[in-house]
Amino acid sequence: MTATVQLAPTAFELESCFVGNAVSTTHLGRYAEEVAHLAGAKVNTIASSIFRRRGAIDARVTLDPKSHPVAWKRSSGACMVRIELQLLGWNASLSTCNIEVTLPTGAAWHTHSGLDGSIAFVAPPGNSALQFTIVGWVDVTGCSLSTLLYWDVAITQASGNVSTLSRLSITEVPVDAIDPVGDPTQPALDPASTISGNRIVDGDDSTPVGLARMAYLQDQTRKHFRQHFQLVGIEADPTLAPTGLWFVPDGSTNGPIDWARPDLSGVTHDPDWHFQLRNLYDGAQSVPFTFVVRYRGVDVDSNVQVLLEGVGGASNTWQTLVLPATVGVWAWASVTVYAPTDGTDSIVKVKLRSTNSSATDDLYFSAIALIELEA
Amino acid sequence: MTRYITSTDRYIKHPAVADSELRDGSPLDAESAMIVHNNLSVLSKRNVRLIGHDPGPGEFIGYDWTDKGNSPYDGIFDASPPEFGGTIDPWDRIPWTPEFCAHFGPYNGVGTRVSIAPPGYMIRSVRVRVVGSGGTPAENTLCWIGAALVQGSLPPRSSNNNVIARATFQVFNDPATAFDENLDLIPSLPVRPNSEWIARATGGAVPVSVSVPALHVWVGWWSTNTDTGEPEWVSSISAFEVYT
Repeated sequence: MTATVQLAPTAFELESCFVGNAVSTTHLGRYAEEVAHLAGAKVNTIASSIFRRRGAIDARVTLDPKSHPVAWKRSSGACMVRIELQLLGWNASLSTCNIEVTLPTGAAWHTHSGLDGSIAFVAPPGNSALQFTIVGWVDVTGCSLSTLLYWDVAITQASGNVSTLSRLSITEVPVDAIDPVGDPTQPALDPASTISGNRIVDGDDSTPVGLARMAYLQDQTRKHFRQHFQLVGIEADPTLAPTGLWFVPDGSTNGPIDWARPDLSGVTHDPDWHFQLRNLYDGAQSVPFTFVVRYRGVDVDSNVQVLLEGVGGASNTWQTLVLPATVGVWAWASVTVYAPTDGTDSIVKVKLRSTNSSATDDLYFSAIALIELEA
Repeated sequence: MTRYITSTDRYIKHPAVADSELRDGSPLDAESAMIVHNNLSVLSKRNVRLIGHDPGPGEFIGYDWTDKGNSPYDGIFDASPPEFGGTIDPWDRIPWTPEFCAHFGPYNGVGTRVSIAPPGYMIRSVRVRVVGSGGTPAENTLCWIGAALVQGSLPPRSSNNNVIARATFQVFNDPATAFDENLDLIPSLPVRPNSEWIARATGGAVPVSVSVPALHVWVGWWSTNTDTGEPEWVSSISAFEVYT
């Protein structure tokens, strides 16, 4: 029997659970429904990023080829990922580009719509308010739940002028139903096992029935639900247009990242972002995240630091990710960091800064992410 | 509706499956049943998703709005604000092109409860947090920022009937005033699924597609401050679901 995934949680009163009262099919039915809802409906947005004009002139149009790297950890219920790309309009006629998405390990195209690099897309007309979007679908059932995985969206000029993306959105897709009987690895309890008159068994994590299975699945929806804080930029050869990339100048100590914005007055404004932590244990412990960064190395080890501070909470210390020296090579680096839960409503503030220890080379970034690491 | 064992909702960890004391034939005790129900309710409420984070536009230029050429619609050939000289709906001052907005999504809306009348799903509220500052122009000017939760891919123009929730604020100029503003998008009406997405490579006993409320968050801005030496700026935009 398949488990239907509800779009909203099921109401249930704890008053019906008391000593001496038999556990009813209502209890067990709710277990099955709610686990299916948590695993099948509550999937995560991986990245939603905008690529605007960069620098005093539009440096996007001199960067070719270029790409957009994205880090990701899969949710337990996600079988498919949806990729939506928006091409920036361009005035010159017949400017074309190839877009090739490198999929994470274990993933395979379901519908690539030309995003495998096989089609030369014509850039839409410039100065138009219309959006030209391309959507692809990726089967991710073969992707690990516990490993950090990576996407990469690469754009290469085919003819005419350089093309560029104005927006990228990658999101996990929910499901309508789950079939744990046909595939016991799917995160659901067989609803047939909750029907009145059927024998209750303990089961285990590999069979689709039983109370132990239910407890296992419930815990999976706790630890395999991962908030993704994602800043996706542009990766390219910086010699083409250094002002088009996020960077920290050589010799900078604990300095702000230059986000390549057209700051008209010459003042660089240092951003901070916010989000709400799940705070599952009522403030009893901080929340672990994987702090993962894509950077272009310099000739000596450098670092990037993140400050995670509860809004209205106590001040916190900067947490450091060392960026090993890899001269001119783009690489991923990651470290575990912790977010405090003492902020009002568990809202946490994110700030970034970096030390570039090189005396000669700028340090560039193309992606910065925090991915929840609940154990 | 949710109910919790403790006075504040929190998840209660239980033993690993291998250590389970749930044995064949033995009754399920009330305490275990309550813990499981409690945990399901906590996770249903607190598994909130992040929708998007953006470094923002930085400093941005304003327009005096005397005609199309002096508005953000300058050079756009297939869209215009509805009129000049009169009162323009603030949502229509924005062309909703990438230079003048942050567009996050689509993401699948998840209900917090079922609504009977009108029918549909009440979806999770979204908070948009915008950090920036007003400018210090020589003359009196306005700067406006708005956020909207939208079903479908059309932007939140006044003529588009797709907005689930809106929030706005006006930036104070001269003297420049820094802001760190919450724009809470709290749906007042239910939504229903409006898009078919591919959910699986192969079907079998379960459907290949899924019906979802495909949601977008739009954050737009405009200004009448044309002084590029002392402009308004937005240094970050955050959009995330909230459970409080």
